[in-house]
Amino acid sequence: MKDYSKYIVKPFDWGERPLIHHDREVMNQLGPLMAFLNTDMVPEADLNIFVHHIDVKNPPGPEYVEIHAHEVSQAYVFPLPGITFEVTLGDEKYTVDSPATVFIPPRLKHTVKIVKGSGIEVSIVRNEKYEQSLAEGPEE
Amino acid sequence: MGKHENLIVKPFDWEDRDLVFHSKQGMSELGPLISFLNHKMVEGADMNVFVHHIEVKGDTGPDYVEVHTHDVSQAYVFPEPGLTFEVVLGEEKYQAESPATVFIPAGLKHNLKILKGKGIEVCILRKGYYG
Repeated sequence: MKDYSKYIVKPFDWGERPLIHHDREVMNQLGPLMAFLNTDMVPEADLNIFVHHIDVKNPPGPEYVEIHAHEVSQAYVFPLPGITFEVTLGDEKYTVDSPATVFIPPRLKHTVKIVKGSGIEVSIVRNEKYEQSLAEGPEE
Repeated sequence: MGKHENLIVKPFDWEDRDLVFHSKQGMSELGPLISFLNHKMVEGADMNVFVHHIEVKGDTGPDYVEVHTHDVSQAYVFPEPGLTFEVVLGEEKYQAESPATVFIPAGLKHNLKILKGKGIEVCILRKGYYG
């Protein structure tokens, strides 16, 4: 019998850890960022998932993500009502009420800002397979 | 309409639409299944995302998913406390409480049963449609 319990993981607070393109101190003012899946938690994982618990106490919420792009696609999922957010896609800015999804194709510049409300945001990055990411690393 | 407006979508209730491997009647007993992303909602989307709103009213939840596999990986994300679930991975059965994530590698047999509680499950498949 194989042990697959390694595929069931508990989330943890990302705390003060850095996150590229993000101001973590400002992000934490909105609420805790919880890591739900990454290759440190499950080495085979080809999805990277964060859940940000959000409560904007003084609207509008702060800016905490610089404009950036990924080589792979990403989705922001706001599963519940109660949040208004502003998303920048390329040169365009949109204001949206949750529940909603934003799909971000590879290499499209984007940022997000929470304008008001409380709830959760699920960020999903469709990262490369772990084996492939290793193969793409520097040659030894 | 902006050039990228099509990338922002509102979810909709999957209602009575078919979902392969799943008993919609059993699922609906637990609560509505909401579609948040697929390749029909956003052309070119390479992820499928459902959010299942769950409330187990009886002693335990129904069996509503047959054991199955996908040709891509999948994740069940239970973002908040309040749910107890049972997941089959391969020949093994595990019980866990939310918050939690279950990562399912491509090709691994699995199914899911909600045992008790109330909350949401975010189901992510690494391709644009469920199947």
